Amino acid sequence: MGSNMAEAHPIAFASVVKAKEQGAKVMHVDPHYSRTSALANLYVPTRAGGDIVFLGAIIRHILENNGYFHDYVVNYTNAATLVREDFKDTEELDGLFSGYEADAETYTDQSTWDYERDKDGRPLSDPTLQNPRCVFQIMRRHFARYTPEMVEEVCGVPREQWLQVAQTLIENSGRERTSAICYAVGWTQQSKGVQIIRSAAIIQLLLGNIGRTGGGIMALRGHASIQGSTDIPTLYDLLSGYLPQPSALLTAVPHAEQSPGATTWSQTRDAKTNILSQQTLQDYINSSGQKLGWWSNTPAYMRSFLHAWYGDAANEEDGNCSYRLIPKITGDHSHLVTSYQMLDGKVKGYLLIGQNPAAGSSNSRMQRKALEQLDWMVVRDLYEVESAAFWYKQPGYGPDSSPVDSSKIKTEIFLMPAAATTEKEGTFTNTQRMLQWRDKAVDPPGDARSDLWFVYHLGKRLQELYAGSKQWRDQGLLSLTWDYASEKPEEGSRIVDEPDALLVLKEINGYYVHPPDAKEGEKKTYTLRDAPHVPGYAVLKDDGSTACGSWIYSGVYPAPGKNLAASRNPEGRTFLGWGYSWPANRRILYNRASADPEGKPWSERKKYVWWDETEKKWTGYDVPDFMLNRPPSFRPKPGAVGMDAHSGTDPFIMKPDGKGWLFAPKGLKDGPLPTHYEPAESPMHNALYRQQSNPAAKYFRKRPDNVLAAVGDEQYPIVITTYRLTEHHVSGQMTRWLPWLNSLQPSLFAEISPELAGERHIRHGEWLIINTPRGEIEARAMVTRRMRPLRVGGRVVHQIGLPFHWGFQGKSKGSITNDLAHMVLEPNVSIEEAKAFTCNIRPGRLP
Amino acid sequence: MEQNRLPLAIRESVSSPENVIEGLAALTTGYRPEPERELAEEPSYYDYPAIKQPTWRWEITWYFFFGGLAGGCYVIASIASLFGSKEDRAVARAGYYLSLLALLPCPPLLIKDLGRPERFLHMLRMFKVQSPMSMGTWGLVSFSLFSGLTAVIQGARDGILGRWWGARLLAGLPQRLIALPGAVLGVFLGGYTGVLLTATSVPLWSRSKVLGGVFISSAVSTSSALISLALRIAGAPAHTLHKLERLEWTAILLEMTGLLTFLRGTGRAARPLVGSAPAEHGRAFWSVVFGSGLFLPWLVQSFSLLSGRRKNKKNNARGIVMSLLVLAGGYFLRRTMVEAGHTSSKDARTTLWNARR
Amino acid sequence: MAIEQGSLQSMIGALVGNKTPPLPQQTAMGFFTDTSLCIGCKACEVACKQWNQLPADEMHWTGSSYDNTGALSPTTWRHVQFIEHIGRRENGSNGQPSPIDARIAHARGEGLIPFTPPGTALPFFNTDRWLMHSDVCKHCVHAPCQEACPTGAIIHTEFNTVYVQQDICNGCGYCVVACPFGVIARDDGGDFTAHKCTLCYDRMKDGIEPACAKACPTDSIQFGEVAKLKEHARERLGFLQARGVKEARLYGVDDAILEGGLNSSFLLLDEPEVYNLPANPARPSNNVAPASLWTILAAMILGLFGIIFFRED
Ligand SMILES: Nc1nc2c(c(=O)[nH]1)N[C@H]1C(S)=C(S)[C@@H](COP(=O)(O)OP(=O)(O)OC[C@H]3O[C@@H](n4cnc5c(=O)[nH]c(N)nc54)[C@H](O)[C@@H]3O)O[C@H]1N2
Ligand SMILES: Nc1nc2c(c(=O)[nH]1)N[C@H]1C(S)=C(S)[C@@H](COP(=O)(O)OP(=O)(O)OC[C@H]3O[C@@H](n4cnc5c(=O)[nH]c(N)nc54)[C@H](O)[C@@H]3O)O[C@H]1N2
Ligand code: SF4
Ligand code: SF4
Ligand code: SF4
Ligand code: SF4
Ligand code: SF4
Ligand SMILES: [Mo]
Repeated sequence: MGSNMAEAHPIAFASVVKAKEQGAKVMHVDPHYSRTSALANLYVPTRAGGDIVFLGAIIRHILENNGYFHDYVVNYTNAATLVREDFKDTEELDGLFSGYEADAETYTDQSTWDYERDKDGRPLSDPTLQNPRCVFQIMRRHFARYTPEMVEEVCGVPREQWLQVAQTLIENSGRERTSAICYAVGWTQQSKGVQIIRSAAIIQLLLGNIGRTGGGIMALRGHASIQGSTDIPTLYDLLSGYLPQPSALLTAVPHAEQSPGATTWSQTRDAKTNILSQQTLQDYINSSGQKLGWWSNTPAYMRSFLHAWYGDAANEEDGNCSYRLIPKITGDHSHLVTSYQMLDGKVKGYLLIGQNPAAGSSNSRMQRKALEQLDWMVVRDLYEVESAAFWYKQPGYGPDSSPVDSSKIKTEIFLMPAAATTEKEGTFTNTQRMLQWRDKAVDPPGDARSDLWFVYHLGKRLQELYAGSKQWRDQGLLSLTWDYASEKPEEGSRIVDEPDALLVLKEINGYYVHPPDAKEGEKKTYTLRDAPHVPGYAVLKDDGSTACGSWIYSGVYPAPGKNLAASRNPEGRTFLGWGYSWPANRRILYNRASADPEGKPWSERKKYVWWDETEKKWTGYDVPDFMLNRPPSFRPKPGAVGMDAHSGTDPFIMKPDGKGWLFAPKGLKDGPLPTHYEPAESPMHNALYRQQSNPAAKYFRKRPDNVLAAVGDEQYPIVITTYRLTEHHVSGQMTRWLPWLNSLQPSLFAEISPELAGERHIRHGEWLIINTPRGEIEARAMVTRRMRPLRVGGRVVHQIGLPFHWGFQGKSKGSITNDLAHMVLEPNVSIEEAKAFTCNIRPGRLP
Repeated sequence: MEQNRLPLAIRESVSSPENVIEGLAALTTGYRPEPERELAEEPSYYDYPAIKQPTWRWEITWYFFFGGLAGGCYVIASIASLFGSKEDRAVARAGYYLSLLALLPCPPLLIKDLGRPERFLHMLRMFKVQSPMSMGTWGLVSFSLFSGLTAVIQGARDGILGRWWGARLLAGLPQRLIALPGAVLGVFLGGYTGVLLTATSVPLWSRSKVLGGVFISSAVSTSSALISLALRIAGAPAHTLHKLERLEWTAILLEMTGLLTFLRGTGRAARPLVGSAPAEHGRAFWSVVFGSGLFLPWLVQSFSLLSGRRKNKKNNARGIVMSLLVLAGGYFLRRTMVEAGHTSSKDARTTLWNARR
Repeated sequence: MAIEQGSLQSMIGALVGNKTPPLPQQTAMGFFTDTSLCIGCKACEVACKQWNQLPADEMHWTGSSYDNTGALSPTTWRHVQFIEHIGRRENGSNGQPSPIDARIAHARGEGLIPFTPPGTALPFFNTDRWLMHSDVCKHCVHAPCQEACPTGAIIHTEFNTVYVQQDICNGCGYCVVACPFGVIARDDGGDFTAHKCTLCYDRMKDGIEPACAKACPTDSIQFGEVAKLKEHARERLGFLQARGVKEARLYGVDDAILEGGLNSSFLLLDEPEVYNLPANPARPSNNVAPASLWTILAAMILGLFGIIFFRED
C-alpha cells in the first residue's frame, strides 16, 4: 500500500515476484493501477487520503473477530497496559485527543497519554485485557467507527474487496505464517503520514508480524542512500544514530516524564516559561535519554559522539564544554519551512547539494520565488538543474507568470560540478539498513569532485579563515576534528587531494581514545588515524574513553582492513556475510519476537531466533536482537534501571517498557492512536469526526503563496495524486538528459478515466490543463481505464494522477507538476502532502 | 458466394468510380470489408504494422519491367528464329536487339536499389536456390551473356559489325543453338521477379502463388507488343505481325486469367491493389493495368483477329496505340504491385489474418 | 554512392570466396521471454541500446499506453509492449447504481458478508490486466531472413542463433520482407545495411549472458540452452494453468511455427495477435517451388502457342 513498488523499486520488487511464484499473495491498494498492480493477485482502487479508514477497519475487524495473535499480543505488546484515567480519546472529543491547545494548533500537554503507573513508575497492566482502561479496550472503542460501511463511504472501496484484503492478511498471519506490509511515499506524503504507518504497525503487532521472518513493515526508501542520510543525518533535528539535535528551547510540550514517578531522570525546566532546556549535556540526556531500555545508553553514545566531533576538547567538563559547541535548534528548520523563511528574506545564502527544489519540491513555483530572494546560492550537481537555471531559463507558466526577467533577480549562483556515484567511493545504506561499500570506477570529469572532497576542503578553508578567532560562536568550527586527508593519493587518479573515505568510515565506526586495557597511570591518547577500532557499540563508554560518529553503525569497520560494508559473501540463510546491516549486522529488528515467551520458535516453519537451553544463550539464523544470555525466565528486580529493567520476554528493547506500542504514550505530535482526518484539500467532509483534517499539521493558511481549496470546493472537485515512472527519476535531472530514457517517456502526461474525459470533452493524446489555487500546468491526456471514478460520500469522485518528473531543463522538457502542489506539512516529520490534493482540468494548452 | 455477390456488386457499380472500383474489387477478390467487425473481433497491437515495409522503390519497378521485356523479347525472338518462316527473321532480329536494349538498364537499376551498391558483387558469394534474389542475380548475369552474344551474332549477320574476319567468325556462330539455353534463361528473367515477390511475408504478394505466372505472361505480352511496335515502325510483313498479334492476344488472355486467379486467391489481402481507399491502388489498376492495358487491347485484337483472318491488311496506327497501351499496362502492373505491397505490409490486421492458417 | 575504402578487395574477396571456415557447433542457445513475469521496466530495452551503442529513438509520445517505442527497428532490438485490458466494475459518472453497488445491496439484503476465506480465493492475476511483453528477434530455426539473404550475410552462428554480418550485407532488403515478425530492417538512417538482435553474439562468445537478460530484474527474459528453456517453458505453462491462468500459452516452443520453432520463444497471456505476433506465419521459402511451377506452366503454355503460331504454314 502507498507504494508503486514495481516502478519505483524494480529490483526489490523482483523478490516480490519471486515470493508470488512461491505462493505468496500480493495485494495492491492504490488510487492508480500501476505496473505494480499488474502483477498483484488483488488490486484495490482506493481514494487518495483514505488509508487510515481502510486500515482502521482492518484493525477493528481483527479485534472484533478475535483475528489477533493472542499470545504475541498479550506478551509482546502494550495491549494489556493501562492508560491514565484522565486520557480522553477522539471518541469523546470528536476527533481530538486530550491535551490539544487550539491556538497553539498542537497538543501542548501530552501527559494524559501516559500509562497508569505504580509508585515506582512501573506501568500497570491487565493481562486479561478486560480493564476498560487497558490499551486493548481503548483501541476497541477507538476503532469502533471504522466499519466496512465507512470504508465504502470514505475510500470508495466495496466492502467485499476490503474484506478480501483483511481476511487474506489474517489468514496469512499467526504461528505458521507471516505477512509483510510495504509502503513508501504514498503514505508518507500526507498530512497524517506517520499515523498511517502507525496503523500498519498496529495491524502487524496484532497479527504478530513484527520481529519475525517474512513479516514487518517495509519502508521502501527513496534515493539510493536516503536511509543513510537519516542514520547519519542530513536532517536538522537529528545528530546521528537517532540522537536528537540539541534544542535551545524545546517546544512548550511537557513530557510524560513529568507524571509522578517518571521513567527518566528528573530534569530541570524553566518554571516561568515552562520550557525544557537542553543547555547542558545533562539536560540533554535527561530530556532525550531514557532511564529504562536501550536508550539508557544515551550518555555513552552521546559522549562518544562528542569525542568524534571535537576530539579531546570533548572531555573538558565531562563533555559539557564540547556539548556547548553544538549548534542548538530553535524550532522547525526543515527544508520546506526554510523555503518559507527564504521567501520572507530571512535566509541569505544556500548550499544546494544534490537537490532540485525548483522542480522536485512541492509548491515549486513558490520554491523558485524563494530562491530569488537569496543573496547567493551554491549548487553542486551533475547537471545545470532547474534550481540553478531558474534565474534565466524559467519559462512562463500560465497567464499569471511570464518568463523570468534575469535583470530583476539578485541571487548570485555558483554552479559546481559534482562527481557521480560511479566516480567516487563510499557506502550506500539501502532500505534494509544495509551498508554496501561502493568502489570508484573512474575519475570524475573536469572539475567535478566528490561531495566528500567539497565538504572536507570547505571545512579546511573555513577553519583557516577563522583561525585564531576568540569569538565563542567560532569555537565550534575551530575545534572540529577535521583530518581526513589521504596518506597518499589514489593510484592512477589525477585527483591528488581526495580525502580518505575509509577514515570517515572509521570515525563513524568508532575508535578507542585511550587503550582499552590501559593500566592506571599510563594514559596514551590516540588520534583518529592511529587509534584502534572499537568492535561495536557495546564497548562505547560515557567517560570519554571512546569516540563514535554514529553508534548504530558501530561495528561496520571493527578492525583495520576489515570493512564489513564491502563484504560480498552470498552464502547463508540470511546472507550475514553480504554487506553490513545496522545495528550489529542484524537483518531483522526485534527478532526475539520470532520466539515465544519461553524462547521456543512460534513454529518450525517460521523458526528464526531462539533460546538455546543447553548453551544458555540466544541463537538462530540472525544476530539475536536481545541480551545474548538473558534467559526467557528472567524477571527484573523492582526499581531496576537500564536494560536490567527488561524481562526475558520483552523483545522491543528500544522501548522503556520493552513492549511493542499499539498505543504510543509519547513521541508523536498528533496523538497516541491513528485517527482518520481528510487531506488538507478534500472533496468531502470528514465522515468520522467533526475535526476535518489533522489538527497538529502545519497549514500556513495565511500565506498568500500557499492558498488551499476549501472542503468540497466545486471549483476544484477532482482528487489529484502524483507518482513516479520507472523511466525517470524524481525531478528528472538524472534521467531527462539521457536520450535513451527520454524516448521511453518523452512527455508529461495526466492519467484520467474515460468517464472524466467524457465529461470534460478531453480526447486521448491531446493536451489538457490542470489547475489548483497554486498554479496551472499542461500535460498530454492519457485517457485510460487504469484510472476509475469512485463512489465516495454517496457521489462519484474522480481521481487523476500525474508523474512529476518534468521541468524546463534537460533534453525532454515539460510542465512542473509540483507547481500544483501545496505545502501543508505533516507535524512529526514535516513532509509535504503531495499525494492527495484537489484540482480542476480542462482541454487545451497554456498560452 | 459469387452468386450472391455478383448482382450486388453490379447493382452497386452505379455512377461514382469508387463504387465501380469497390464493386470490381469485391467481385474479383470475393471479399467485402467489414471495419466494425474486424475492429471488434480481430485484435492487433494498436494497429502498428506487424511486418516491416519493403525497402524497394521505383528502381525495382522499372527493373521488373525491363527485365520482363529483355527476357520476353529474347524468348519470342528465339521462337521466331527457331520455328518461324524466313520473313519471321525480322521478329528474331528486332527481338534480339530489343532484348539487349531492355537489358542494359537492368544492372544499374538493381545496383542503385541496394543500400550499399558498392557491395553489389557480394550477391555472387552465394548460389542459393532457396533465395529468388540470389537465383535472380545469377540468372540476370548469365542471361546477359547470352542476350549479349546473340545480339552480337545478330549484329554480325546483319553486317552492323562490318566485314572483317572477326565479324564473319561471329556471324558463323550457331545462334539458334545458343538461343536454346538463352531462351530458358529469358523465361527465368521474365518470371522470377514474380517468384521473388511471392517468396516474402507480404500478404498481397505471397498469399496466392501465381504471381510468377502473371509476370511471365505480362513479359510475353509486353514484349510482343514492343516487337510489333518496332516492326510496325520499321515495316514488316503483315503475316508476321499477325503471328505476333496472336501470341500477344494469347499472352494477354493468360495474363488476365492469371490476374483474376491471383486476386481471388489473395482475397482480402489484395485490397491494396484493387481497392479504392486512399493508400489503395484500385484506380490505376483497374483503369491503366486491367482496363486499357489488358482488356481493351485484347478486345480490339480479338476483333481484328476475327476480321484479320480474311483480308490480310494491317492497320498500323491502331496497332501502335494498342502496343503502347499494353506496354504502359505492363509497367503499371509492376508499379501498382510494388506500391500496393508497401500498403499491404502496413496493414497489421490483414497480415495477422493472413498468418492465421 | 562513394566506393568505400577497400570495398574492391572485399568484393574480390567475396568473389573468390575467402569465407572463414565455420566454427565448431555449440549447443543451441536462445531466449525464453516469460511475459507473466514482466514488470514493464524497459531495462532490457535500455541495456540493449547501451551494450550495442544504438542511437535513441526520437522522442515521440505515442499515447499507446506506456509504449513510446512502437516497434522493433534497425536501432531498437528489444521492444516492450503494453496492452491494457481493464474491465469496468464501476460505471462511473452517471448517477445510476453500478453493478457492484447492486451486489453490495444484495449482500446486505442477505445480511451476510461472505466469510468463505477470500484469501485462498485470490486469482494469480487480478481481474484487470496490463499485459507487458518484451519483443525481440525470434532467432527462427528456419529463419526466413537467412533463407532469403542472397549474400549470405545472415548466418546461423555456432550457437544456432541468427546473426547478420554487417560487413557482408549489401542492403538488398530481401530479408526485410521475408521476416514474418517484422523484426529485421534496413538502417536507412545509418549504414543502409540490415540490423537486428545479435543475441549478443559478442558477449556469448565470452560466455556472458546477453545484456537484456542480464538487466531483467524479474527474469522475464531467460537466456540459456534452447532445449532446457523449452522444457522449462512447458513446466511454466503447467504451473500457470494450474493456478487458473487459462489464457496463458506458449509461442514458438513447439516446432509448429516455421516448421522448426523459434530459438527465442515466449509465454503469452493472450492470443498472439494481441501482441502483433502472427499465429502461424508461412515460411516464405516454401513459396519458391509452387510459384516457380506456375511460372513454368504459364511459360510452357505461351511457348507452345508461340511455336504453333510461328510454325503454321
Ligand atoms: N524509477 C524511479 N524509482 C524511484 C524514484 C524515481 O523517481 N523513479 N524515486 C525514489 C524515491 S526518492 C522515492 S521516495 C521512492 C518512492 O517510491 P514510491 O512511493 O513507490 O513511488 P511513488 O510513485 O510516489 O508511489 C506512490 C504510490 O502511492 C500511490 N498513492 C498516492 N496516494 C495514495 C494514498 O493516499 N494511499 C495509497 N495507499 N496510495 C497512494 C500512488 O498512486 C503511487 O502508486 O521511489 C524511489 N525510486
Ligand atoms: N509531487 C511530488 N513531489 C515530490 C514527490 C512526489 O512523490 N510527488 N516526491 C518527493 C520525494 S520522495 C523526494 S525524495 C524529492 C526528491 O527531490 P529532489 O532530491 O530535489 O530531486 P532529485 O531529482 O532526486 O534531485 C537530486 C539531484 O541530485 C543530483 N545528484 C545525483 N547524484 C549526486 C551526487 O552524488 N552529488 C551531488 N552533489 N548531486 C547529485 C541529481 O543530478 C539531481 O539533480 O521529491 C519530492 N517531490
Ligand atoms: S535504480 Fe538503482 S536503486 Fe533503483 S531500483 Fe534500480 S538498481 Fe535499485
Ligand atoms: S525473427 Fe525475423 S529476423 Fe529474426 S530470425 Fe526470424 S526471420 Fe530472421
Ligand atoms: S539486406 Fe543484407 S542481410 Fe538482408 S538479405 Fe540483403 S544482404 Fe542479406
Ligand atoms: S540479446 Fe543482445 S542484442 Fe539481442 S536484444 Fe538482447 S541485448 Fe539486444
Ligand atoms: S527488463 Fe524484464 S521486466 Fe523489465 S521490461 Fe524487460 S522483460 Fe520486462
Ligand atoms: Mo524520496
